[in-house]
Amino acid sequence: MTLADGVQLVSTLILAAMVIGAALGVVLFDNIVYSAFTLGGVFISIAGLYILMNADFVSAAQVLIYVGAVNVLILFAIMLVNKQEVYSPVPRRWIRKLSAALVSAGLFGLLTVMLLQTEWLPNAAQTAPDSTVILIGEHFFSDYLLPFELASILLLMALVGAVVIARRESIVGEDTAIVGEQPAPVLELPERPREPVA
Amino acid sequence: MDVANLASQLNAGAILPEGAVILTLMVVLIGELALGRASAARWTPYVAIAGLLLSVGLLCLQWDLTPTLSFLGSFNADKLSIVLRSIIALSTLVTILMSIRYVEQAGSSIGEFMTILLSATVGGMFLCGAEELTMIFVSLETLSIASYLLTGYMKRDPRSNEAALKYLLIGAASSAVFLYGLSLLYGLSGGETHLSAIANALAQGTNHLGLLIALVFVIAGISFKIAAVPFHQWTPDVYEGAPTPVVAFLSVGSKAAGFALAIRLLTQAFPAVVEQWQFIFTALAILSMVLGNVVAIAQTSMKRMLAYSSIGQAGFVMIGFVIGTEAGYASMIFYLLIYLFMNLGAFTCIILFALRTGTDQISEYAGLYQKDPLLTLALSLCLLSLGGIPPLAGFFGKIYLFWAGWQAGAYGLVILGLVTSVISIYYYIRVVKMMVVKEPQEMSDVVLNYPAINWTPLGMRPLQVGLFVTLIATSIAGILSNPLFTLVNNAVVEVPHLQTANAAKTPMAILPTTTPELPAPLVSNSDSTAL
Amino acid sequence: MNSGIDLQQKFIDTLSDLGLSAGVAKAIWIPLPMVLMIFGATVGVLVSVWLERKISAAAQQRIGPEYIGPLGILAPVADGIKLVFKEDVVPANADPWLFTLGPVIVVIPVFLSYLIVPFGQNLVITDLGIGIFLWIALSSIAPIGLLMAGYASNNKYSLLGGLRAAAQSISYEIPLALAVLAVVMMSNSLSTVDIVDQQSGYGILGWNVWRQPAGLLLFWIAALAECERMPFDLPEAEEELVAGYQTEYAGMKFALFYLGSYVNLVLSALLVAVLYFGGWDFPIPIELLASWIGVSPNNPVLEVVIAGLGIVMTLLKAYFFLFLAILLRWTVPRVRIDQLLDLGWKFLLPIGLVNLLLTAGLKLAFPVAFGG
Repeated sequence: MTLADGVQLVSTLILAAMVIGAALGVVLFDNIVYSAFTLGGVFISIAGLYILMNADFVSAAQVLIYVGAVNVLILFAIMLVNKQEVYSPVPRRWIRKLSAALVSAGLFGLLTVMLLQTEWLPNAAQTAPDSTVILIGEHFFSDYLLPFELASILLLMALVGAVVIARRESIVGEDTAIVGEQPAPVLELPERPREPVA
Repeated sequence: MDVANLASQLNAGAILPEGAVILTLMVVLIGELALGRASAARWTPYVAIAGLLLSVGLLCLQWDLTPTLSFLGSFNADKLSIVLRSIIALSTLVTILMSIRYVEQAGSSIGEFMTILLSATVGGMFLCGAEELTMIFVSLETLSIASYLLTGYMKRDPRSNEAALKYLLIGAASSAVFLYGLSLLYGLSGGETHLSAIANALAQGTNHLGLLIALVFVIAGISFKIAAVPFHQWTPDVYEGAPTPVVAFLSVGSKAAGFALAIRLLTQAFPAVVEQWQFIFTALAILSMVLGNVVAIAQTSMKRMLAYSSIGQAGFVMIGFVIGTEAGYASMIFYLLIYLFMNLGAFTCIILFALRTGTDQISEYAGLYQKDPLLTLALSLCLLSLGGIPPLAGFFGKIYLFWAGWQAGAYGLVILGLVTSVISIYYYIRVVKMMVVKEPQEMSDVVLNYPAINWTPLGMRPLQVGLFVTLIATSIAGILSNPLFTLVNNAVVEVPHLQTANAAKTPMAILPTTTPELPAPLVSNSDSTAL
Repeated sequence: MNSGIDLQQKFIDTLSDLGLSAGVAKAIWIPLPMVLMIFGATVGVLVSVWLERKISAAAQQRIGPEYIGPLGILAPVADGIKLVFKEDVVPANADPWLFTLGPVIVVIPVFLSYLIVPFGQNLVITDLGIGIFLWIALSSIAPIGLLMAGYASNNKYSLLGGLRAAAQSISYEIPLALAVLAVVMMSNSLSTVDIVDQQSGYGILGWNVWRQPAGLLLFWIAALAECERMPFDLPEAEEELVAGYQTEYAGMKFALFYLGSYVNLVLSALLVAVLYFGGWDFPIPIELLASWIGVSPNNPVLEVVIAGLGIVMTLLKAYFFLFLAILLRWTVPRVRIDQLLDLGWKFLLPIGLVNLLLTAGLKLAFPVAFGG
């Protein structure tokens, strides 16, 4: 084993341990803020795994998007919604936890068996490209052109939708909402809510 | 590969219909921004309708072209996709007709509603022709995210918020599972993303377990989209909380896109495990038909009832899918086409009723016949058609489905379908009875105070047009079903992988309703565009 | 193009001559540049702290530190020693783990970003293919640390400061990335070495500043905001938030924040030099000078001189921008938080997009001047 191979193996093991540990942290922490921070750890570790697979651009993009944007937004949401609410513990909660653990363990076992049984087709012919950026660009503008362009529609729509949901609503036809007055019953379904069943 | 060479290989003409919708979307978005929100309600819906009509027209023109893969294999514009894309475009069209007044009355901005609805349409249309895993996922997400946004559009209503949140969370989970399935497919095939290449690669290997897991995950994602039991839990809450036009789109357009995905992905990428996926879908069909139709009986809210009825209807459609014959696929698409009109007709009626009275409780419909005969007639016809009463369109749709199932030997499924149809007729008739049979003194309060019928306010005319169009289509599409059926038959016959999927089975006789001398596609398509 | 001095090759050759195998020699080499860079960055911070004090004093017509060493140059060292020996306090009810982890997460990415700062053709730790993109990605990690510090302090000012810092950081990352993207588009590469190479050859006339004036302004404003420098130091605006997320910090943990902010400032100044001012390039092409004097470009002495000159030029350019940043601190008033976000989203973002579009258009129209 050469030095590089050894480094790669050790890094893989460390990163794998980090991913699994952090992911367990996300699920098992009771404090949601801890979960959010460990989620950042998961993202970073996955970026490390990408680097080991020679996908440097994807790795940097993973850090930029998932850690820098997604995780920060999650933290923002958690910290801005500062509602201290004491939940009464659900009776026999351990049954739910146990069943969730059993299902997860079963799925894990199944997938492991599958991974071991499968003859994965190795793609030996492919060597690491000189520049992943150029390769990604070529794919984007040849065989993945259509999904790439459709993604722009998706992002545009998501942007418009996010603004629609987040903006402070002024009633159509008026430039400003009147502050302090009873708002008109807008943006609600015209159907009356059902009377609660007695 | 230089630009000119690439451009010639792309065969970009195949996505002209989607291009028309995208262009409309841009015009609506930028126009609303430039001209202001106040005037937007007066023109954006009509621009959107024009764009969709153009799109459907372009689809008709593409019918006679020889189908070729475009965008280096990302998109397949065969006849099957043309029919399904038309269904989605038409469902958006009718949805827009019924949504103008609804959105206007709720005081929210119509331009953005149109934008998001049109992007959902684009996503659905691309999904119908997607031949490649990335394309499938991106278009599926376009459709899904737009649906979440539309569901939460009435943002001050807690029911709408709840519906959007539930839909988003369950949808995101199902997308993740679906994506995991796709990634397994990618890995098992040794790094292929095109469906045909995946099928080739998987045909050589013996990775049965991996393939089955991929299959199960993929089916979970698809079943969420078509709301098959047991992946249906979101449906009632979302249907109750979402704005009604959105529900109409979800129940028709989104569902048609889901079936398109199912046909293309399962028949093309999983030929090695045909028995398995047909078995799973048989189970889903049985559960959907039974649960959807039985639970619908107990509902008191019209929207919830239609939610369960749509689950049941999806069960009927799945009969055509699981038998895996040409006639099965054809009858399935035919039923979707019929379902488009009758279901959207029903939703138009309940929107009209909700706008006039502010409720959607079934009991409040009592005695509506005396106050609004037109609405009563339209709603009755659409519901009876959904139940499958002759001579309405739904009857013929079901007959074709059950006939195809019987021919293929799926006797149990067909009998179950018949039984549950009878159950469904019970709860549909209940509403009709509520409206028609009640004496004047039994009238509900809201019907007693029913406002004078007035079609002049902004957005009421399109609603009226939509009502008449769907009503006429529901009434006569059954009697004039020959051209429609020729259309869907042609669509299925010319798709090679639907033949290979059932090569092992006995070749089925095509229904004896084909009329070769009729220039079927043109007639029926112009028929549907005129509607 | 003369590739200049290659220290790594020479070092490995020397060790091989001593009888070590090439692999071992390389393994010995690997940590050296990193250690050197961390050391260099820390010294850079000391220099910039001293400059900050002196220039601030000059701006206020004072003398500034005077007695700690000649001209007071040991003042930052004294600061550092004081912070190291201070008691390390974790406030009551604070979250000790997150409280400690916060500053660490803020500092590490900044130091990592020095990986891609070039001081010469081969005087860079790694010439990565994704180069400048790595910096953008790494700089997006810092808000996590800031949020962590703000949350763990159990102090409302800290939390507000952390939230502000994160909001500011993600808002200004986009114009920053757009400005960088325009430069990248011209040099057809994300690698910082390639970006400098593309500017060299014509001396001062070839620098990107002439082709990207709007981009430079955009980059500089966004970089100041990313570093939380005046006029964008809202997260620690003392009139409103005491000291923002740093309020509860003392001793070594505070020192980490302090260090991080100055390292980041120096890094930004270095990157302005690399992206817009020709990096290690001398204002007059060095080959031209050599031919005037009559020295062959392969002369080993010249190689060493060029390498030294490259480092000096990069640092000079960077410290000029550091000087500008310090001057700005005492000449520009602080903006309000809403003004800050408005500026980022409604002004810099559109300008950045237009700049990108214009650059693309110019690149198509004049491929000679804009890197075809």
